[in-house]
Amino acid sequence: MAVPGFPENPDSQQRSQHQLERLQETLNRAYRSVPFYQAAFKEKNIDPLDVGGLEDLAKLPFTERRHLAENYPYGLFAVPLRDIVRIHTAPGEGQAPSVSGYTAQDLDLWRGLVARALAAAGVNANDIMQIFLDPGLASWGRGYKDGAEELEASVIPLTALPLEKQQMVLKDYKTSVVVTTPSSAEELCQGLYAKGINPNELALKTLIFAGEPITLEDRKVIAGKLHVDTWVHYGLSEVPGPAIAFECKAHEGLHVSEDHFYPEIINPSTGEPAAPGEEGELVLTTLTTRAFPLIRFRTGDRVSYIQEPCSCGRTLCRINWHQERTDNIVVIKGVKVHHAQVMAHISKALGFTPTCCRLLAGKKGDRVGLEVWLGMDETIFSDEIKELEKVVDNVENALIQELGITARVRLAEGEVECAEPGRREVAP
Amino acid sequence: MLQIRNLKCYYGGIRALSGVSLSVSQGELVALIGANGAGKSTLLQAVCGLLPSWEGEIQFDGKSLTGLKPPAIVARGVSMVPEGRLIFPPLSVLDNLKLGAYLRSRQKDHAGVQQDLEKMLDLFPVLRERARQNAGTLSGGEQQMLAVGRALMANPRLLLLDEPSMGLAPLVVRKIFDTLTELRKTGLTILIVEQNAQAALEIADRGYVLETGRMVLAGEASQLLEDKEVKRAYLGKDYSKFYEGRG
Amino acid sequence: MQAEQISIFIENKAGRLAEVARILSDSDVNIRALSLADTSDFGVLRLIVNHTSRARDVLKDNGFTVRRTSVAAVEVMDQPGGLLAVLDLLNGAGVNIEYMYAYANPPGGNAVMIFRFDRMEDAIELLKNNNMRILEAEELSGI
Ligand SMILES: Nc1ncnc2c1ncn2[C@@H]1O[C@H](COP(=O)(O)OP(=O)(O)OP(=O)(O)O)[C@@H](O)[C@H]1O
Ligand SMILES: [Mg+2]
Ligand SMILES: [Zn+2]
Repeated sequence: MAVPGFPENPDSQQRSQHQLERLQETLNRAYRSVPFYQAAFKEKNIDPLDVGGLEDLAKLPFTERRHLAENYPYGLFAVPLRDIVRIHTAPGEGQAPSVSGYTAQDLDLWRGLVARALAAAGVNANDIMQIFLDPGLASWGRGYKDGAEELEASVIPLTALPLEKQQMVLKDYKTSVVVTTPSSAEELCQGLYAKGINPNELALKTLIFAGEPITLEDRKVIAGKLHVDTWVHYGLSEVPGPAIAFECKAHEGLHVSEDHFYPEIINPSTGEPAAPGEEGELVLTTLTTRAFPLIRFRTGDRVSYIQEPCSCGRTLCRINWHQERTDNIVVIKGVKVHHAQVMAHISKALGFTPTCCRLLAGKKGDRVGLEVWLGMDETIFSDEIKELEKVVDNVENALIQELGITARVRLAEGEVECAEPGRREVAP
Repeated sequence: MLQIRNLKCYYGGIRALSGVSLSVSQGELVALIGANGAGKSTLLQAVCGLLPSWEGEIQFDGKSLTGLKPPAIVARGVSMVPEGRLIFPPLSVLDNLKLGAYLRSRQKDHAGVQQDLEKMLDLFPVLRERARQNAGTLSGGEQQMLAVGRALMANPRLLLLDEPSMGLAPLVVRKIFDTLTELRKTGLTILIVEQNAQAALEIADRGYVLETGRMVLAGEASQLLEDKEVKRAYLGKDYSKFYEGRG
Repeated sequence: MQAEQISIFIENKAGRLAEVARILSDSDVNIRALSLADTSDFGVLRLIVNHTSRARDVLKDNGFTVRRTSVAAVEVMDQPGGLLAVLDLLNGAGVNIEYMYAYANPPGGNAVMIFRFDRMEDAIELLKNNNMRILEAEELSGI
């Protein structure tokens, strides 16, 4: 989605002019129309006019995931409801979900952004694209559908088909592009092998990973097993933004759509900008969004800039997307599960708040799910096995019912390492 | 071509522009729209060097205009058609046009000036008909054409227009705007300030929306024409009967 | 009349049981009776020891979750049907046994069983009325 008035690949001066203009407009609109932002600015004694350059953004307060839940449902909308044409819900932090809205123009914009990212992966009108994502990522499913349609590809939209049916579609419909999460791709891969389907029988040539980062090794394994080229997309579930950053054919990091999102990388503990090239938390500010502007939104994702210009010629900046997170979020098949939210349901199921709890992406049987390590303490402990088993069952049932997450609850001796919650670790 | 960053202008203690950024690329026709008193004229005046002081940065062709006097800015290639045309009624149409080329005449570019004079009279045939009449006897629309012609006589690369449609009948407005579209096709870059948002956005590539000294929106002109907020505020569509709440 | 047992939560992994034994032995605590109930993931170790408080403290200091529970140590005639007599009696009165296990080296010739009932007091009352001998706490741990 090229920016009107600017060349497709502007030089840095043109880029910063464009970004500053869009930033100031965004700040002015947010300040004028969203009481939350106005209050946050006033608390820091800042007026949007104090942001005279991109570097001044650092003076502004952060927006965190909890703010989205606190302003449930429409508190952060910057346009009247009658201008909103679509409303999305993402699991929030704590009890309330986070709700985002889109004007017709916002949807146009997203369609363009997703199309641009798909085109960079070589998707075109000859492709048949199958969207295979967890139902928790339904809003991304729509984004991908719209973007692929923009490129005139044939889309098989996201449906809640069992794995077996997905495989049937993959084979019989001659799918050439699959959009999925790394863990779902793994499931798909295993499923194909289990059914004795030879990847050579498939028309599949492109696999687009969304929702969670993937290690180079895992990527090679899947690419090798399925004989496909793989591409990584970065997005946020709070806005149906499956393609905020995307890989080009160079496959060296992800280009950030910085014409529509202004990226910053901060030190997650101090909130200060990370040193150039240093790893830190990605913070995004929307530049063109109308209905749901986000100002300095802390993504919790760990990234670092790649300084060198890309061989593909795009001047959009590039990031490396790292496995670890900077927040208390576990990503299960691309769906973000917040520590606090899981804890709220665990506490409700137990009748009290456990002192210690660790969450990991894990497996129950061959299903990817959440692994909850409950640290044993005197409140939970009973000398009777059946009481302890009841604790495990209650919590597992509560999580599947309340969050739709397959969870395996394990009891741990004493304190579990809660200090670094939310790292994506696969349990043994 | 034109890059404005963080422009702040004051009238005494009153801030008329609060950190405005705007840019116009080579060959573009850009519209700046906004209500009465939003600061549109102030912005153009700052670009032309007509304000005693301002803060921020204005660059034309990559060079700063800070501290330059109006003639120097005209010499760089920026001309303005001011609000209310400001032609000289007792002078003839021809003399008014020649005034626009004042700098060039001083530089003894007489042949060039004569050539452009012909061009203007071709562009606005009605001016040729009334070439020797006093400008004060022209109709509003003709005066506006004269004002545009006079600005063009400086041979600018960037033309600024301040509310050219003001006080004109729709048909005349159409004619003036058609001329702007023609000029733009010749490669002229244009920044037009308008309260008549509809007419301006219809001919523009891009638009900016200024609100009490602050920029609140920008985008492709076609998008802005479809924008509900722009429609409500500037395109005269009445949406007041709709529910305004936000939950 | 009730004896004290300590229960310890342990993860089902190698060496945990030995670790508990080592900690207790380092503190000169003797284990009198022991039972381990487990699942595939975890287990509950139940102990009767000679110094209950000290045992509890050192285990806690070593990061274990420990709970004290009242149990009944019942002398069971060392003859066929000895245990059955006790169980019949309880069953007849509708008392449920949560768990039970044997005491290692009982004083006197007879066997001693450690019981946890759902209604401890009632059960003890019942056993006593039927002339069953219930060992005192000191009797158990003091040896
Ligand atoms: N010479 C002046 N002295 C004091 N205040 C002024 C002066 N010129 C303009 N202002 C004030 O500055 C603000 C911006 O004025 P400006 O003329 O730039 O607005 P505008 O957008 O061009 O409005 P309009 O559509 O009515 O022409 C207004 O509040 C106006 O009252
Ligand atoms: Mg004006
Ligand atoms: Zn590239």
